[in-house]
Amino acid sequence: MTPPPRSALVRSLITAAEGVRRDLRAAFGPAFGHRVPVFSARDGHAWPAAPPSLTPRTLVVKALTRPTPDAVVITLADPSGAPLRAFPGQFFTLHVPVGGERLRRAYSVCSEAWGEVADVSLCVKRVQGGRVSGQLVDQLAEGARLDVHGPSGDYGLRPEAPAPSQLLLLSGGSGITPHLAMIRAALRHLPQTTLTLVYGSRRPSHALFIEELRALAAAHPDRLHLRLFVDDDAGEPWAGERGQLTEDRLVEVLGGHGALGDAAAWIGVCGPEGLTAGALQALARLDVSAARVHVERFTAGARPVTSDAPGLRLPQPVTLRRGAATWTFTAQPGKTLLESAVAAGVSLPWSCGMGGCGACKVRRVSGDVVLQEPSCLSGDERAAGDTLTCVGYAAGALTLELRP
Amino acid sequence: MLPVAKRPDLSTSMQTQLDAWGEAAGVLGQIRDPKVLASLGPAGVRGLVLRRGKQGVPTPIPASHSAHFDWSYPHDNPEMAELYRRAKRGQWDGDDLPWGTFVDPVSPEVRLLPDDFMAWDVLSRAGVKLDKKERRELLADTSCWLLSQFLHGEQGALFAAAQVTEAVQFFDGKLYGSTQVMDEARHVEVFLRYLESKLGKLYQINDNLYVIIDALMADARWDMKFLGMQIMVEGLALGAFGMMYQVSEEPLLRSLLKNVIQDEARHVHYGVVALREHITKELSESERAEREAWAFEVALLMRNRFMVYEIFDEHFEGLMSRATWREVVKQSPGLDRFRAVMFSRLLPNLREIGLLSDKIRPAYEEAGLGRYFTGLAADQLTGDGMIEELEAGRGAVLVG
Ligand code: FES
Ligand SMILES: [Fe+2]
Ligand SMILES: [Fe+2]
Repeated sequence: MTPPPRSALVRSLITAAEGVRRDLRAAFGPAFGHRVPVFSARDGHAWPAAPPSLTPRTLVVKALTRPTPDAVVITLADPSGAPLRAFPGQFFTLHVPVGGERLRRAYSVCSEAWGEVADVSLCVKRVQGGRVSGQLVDQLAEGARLDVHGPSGDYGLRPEAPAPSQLLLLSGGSGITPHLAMIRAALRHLPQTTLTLVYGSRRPSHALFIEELRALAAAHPDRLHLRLFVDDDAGEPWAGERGQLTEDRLVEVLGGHGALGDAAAWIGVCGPEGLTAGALQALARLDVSAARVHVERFTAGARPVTSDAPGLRLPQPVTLRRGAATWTFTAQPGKTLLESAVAAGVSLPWSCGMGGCGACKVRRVSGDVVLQEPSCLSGDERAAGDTLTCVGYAAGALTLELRP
Repeated sequence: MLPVAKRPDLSTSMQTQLDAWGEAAGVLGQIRDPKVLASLGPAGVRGLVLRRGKQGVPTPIPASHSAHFDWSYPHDNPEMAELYRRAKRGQWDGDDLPWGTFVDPVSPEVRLLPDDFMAWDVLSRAGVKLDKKERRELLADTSCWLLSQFLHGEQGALFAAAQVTEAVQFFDGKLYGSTQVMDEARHVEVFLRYLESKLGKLYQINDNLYVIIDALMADARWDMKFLGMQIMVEGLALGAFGMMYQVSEEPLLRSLLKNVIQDEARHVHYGVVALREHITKELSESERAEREAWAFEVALLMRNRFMVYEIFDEHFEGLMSRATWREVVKQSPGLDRFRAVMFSRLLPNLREIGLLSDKIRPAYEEAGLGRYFTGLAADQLTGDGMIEELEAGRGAVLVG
C-alpha cells in the first residue's frame, strides 16, 4: 500500500526542516571534521567526441614497443592531432586486412586514459594460430595507418563514478592490459584508492609489463600490492610466486582480502575463460555475490554466420520502438541490422561494431535474429530476448525495442 | 604527486573553523555604512556561515524585483539601440571553437598559467617543497579553480541578465538585454565544456563570490542589480579574463576567452550607459552615496577575499594553517597581477557612472587602489580595442 500523498503544508514544512538541517551541518560540521568535496570530477561525456560513424576512423601508429617477443604495444594517435577520448578499461576495435579480408579484433587500452588524451596504447599478444595478432606482432611498422572503431565498453573506472575505496584486479595472460590502464589511472587520479593486482601467466617469458608493474609498486609501496604468478617457471628466472591460478588456489590467495567484504571496493576479472570461471567460483565461495564482480570477456572476432535460414536471403521489414515512438526500415540480405539501419538513415546506438561491447543491444519483441558468434551477450540477456544489431541479421520480419 | 589534505583531527578542525568564522566576522564587521550592511549582511551570512553555495544541493534564491512593462514601446535610448544592433551581429556559436585541440593541463610547453604564477618560496618556507611536475599540477588545479569561478560567475550573470531585462526602465535596454541573456548562456556553455572535456574537474563556488551573487539576486532595486552585475562582477571578470588571455599559452582557451571578452565588453558598456544617466540625474545624493559605499565594499570583498581556499582544502589542510596559505596567495605574483588588472578595469567605470566622488577616493587610496582612478571606461573601449591592448601587453607580461 502506498501512503496517501502529503499535503502541501506538510511538504513545505519538511522542505524547510531539511533546509535548516543542511544549514546547521554546513555551519558547524566543519568544526567537527566534516568536509565536503571541493570539486567534482567530470568526464566530458555530455560533449560530442567524434560522431560515431559506421566508417571507421583512421589512426596512425606513433610508436611501437615489444614488451615480449610475442607481444607489441601499439601507440595510436589521430593524424590531425585531435585528441582521443578514452577511459581505463575500454578497448578499440581494429580493422585489419588479412589476405583480402577485413578482420575485426578488439584490443584493450593499456595506457593511462582519463578522458581526452593525445594518444592511446593498445597491447596485442600473439594468439596461437591467430591471423590478426600474428600480422600485427610481426609486420606492423611505425607510421602505418589503422582503421579503428571505439573506444568501447563500460568495464573499468570512470572519473564521474564514486572513487572505489580499493581495487581488486584478477588478471590472466593478456587480461592484464585493461588492468594496467586502470592501475595507472587510479594511482594518479584516485589518491585515496588502494590496489591489489593478482596476475597469472603461463611462464615468465609470457608475463607482460612485469617491470612496469614492479616500478609502479615501488613508487607507491603503500597503495599498490602485487601478487604475480606463473604456472611454471620453465627454467626461466622468476621473482614472483609459482602455481596455476585455479579456483582453489584463488580461494587461498584471496581469502581474508579486505576488498571482499567492502561494498565500496571494485572487483574486476579479465583473462582467459578458464581463469575467469575459476575466479568467479572462488569469489562465490568467499561470499562475494556475483553482482559485485565486474567481468571483461575477450571476444574473439565473430565468425561469419553459417545458418542457412531461408529468411536471411530476403529483405525483411524491421520496426523499431522506443517508448511510443516507432521507426521502420528494411534489413537487406547480407547486411547487419546496424548497417541496414544506417543505410536507411536510422541512427542506432553502437560502439565497437564487432559484438564485443553491448552498446548496440536491443530487445527482440518478435521475429528471429541470427547472430555472428561469439558475442558479449550473457546467457541471461539472451534469455530475456536481447540481441546485438552490429552482428545480427534478420531472418524474418522483426520488431525491436530500443532501450529508453 | 601533490599532497592530499589530511582529514584533520578535532583541534585542527576547530582552529580552521574559528579562522573561517573570524574572517566572516571581519568581512561583515568592517562595513561602516548601515545601509550597505543591511544589503550585504544577510547574503554574507548565507554565503560565509551557512555556506549555501557548497551544500551540494541546488540553491533557491528568492527575487523581489518587479518586471517593468511599457505598452507604448518608446525608442528611448539610441546608444542602447546601437548596442543591440552590434550584439545581434556579434553572436557566435560555442561549437565553432577549436574543440579538437588536445589540452594537457600539466604540459610544460603549452602552459595554462606561467611558472612564476605562485609564490613557491612562501610555500616551501611553509614546508611544502614541490618539484617541477608537482608545480605544474598545482598550476593546473589553480587554472581549473579560476575557470570554475568564471563559470559560476557566468551562471550568476545569466540569471542577473534575465532579471535586469525584466526590470530595466529603457525599452531599448530590454531588447539589448535579451542578447546578453543569450551571451551569458553561451559563456556558461563554453566554460563548462572546457572544464568538463579538457580539465576533467569542476570546483565548488567560492564563498565570497556566492555572497555577491546572492546579494544581487535578492536585491529588489534594478540599479543595484545593474551595478553589482554589469559593473562589478562583469567588470572584474573582464579584467580576469583579460589577464588569463594574456598569460595563457593554451590556444583553445585563448580563443574561447577572446570571444567571451568581446561579449563582455558590450555588457560592461551597457551597464555604464544605463547607470550614468540614472545615478547622475535621478538619484538623491544619499542614494548615490549608498551605492558608492556598496561598490567599495564589494570591490574589497573581491580583492581581499579570493583566497583560493578550495585548493587549500584539497591539498594543504593539515600541512599548514589557513593564515600561512593566505600569505602564499597574497604573495603570488600571478594572483597579484589578477587583482591589479581587475581594478584597472573597474575603477574607471565607477568614475564614469559617478560612483568615484571625492568622498570615497581616500578610502580607495587607503586600500592602495589610487593608481587606477584614470584610464578608459568601457563606453570608450570596444571589444576589438581591448583584445589589441591585451595582445600588445602580452610580451611584457610573459617576460616580466
Ligand atoms: S556495437 Fe559493440 S556489441 Fe554491437
Ligand atoms: Fe559572461
Ligand atoms: Fe556578461
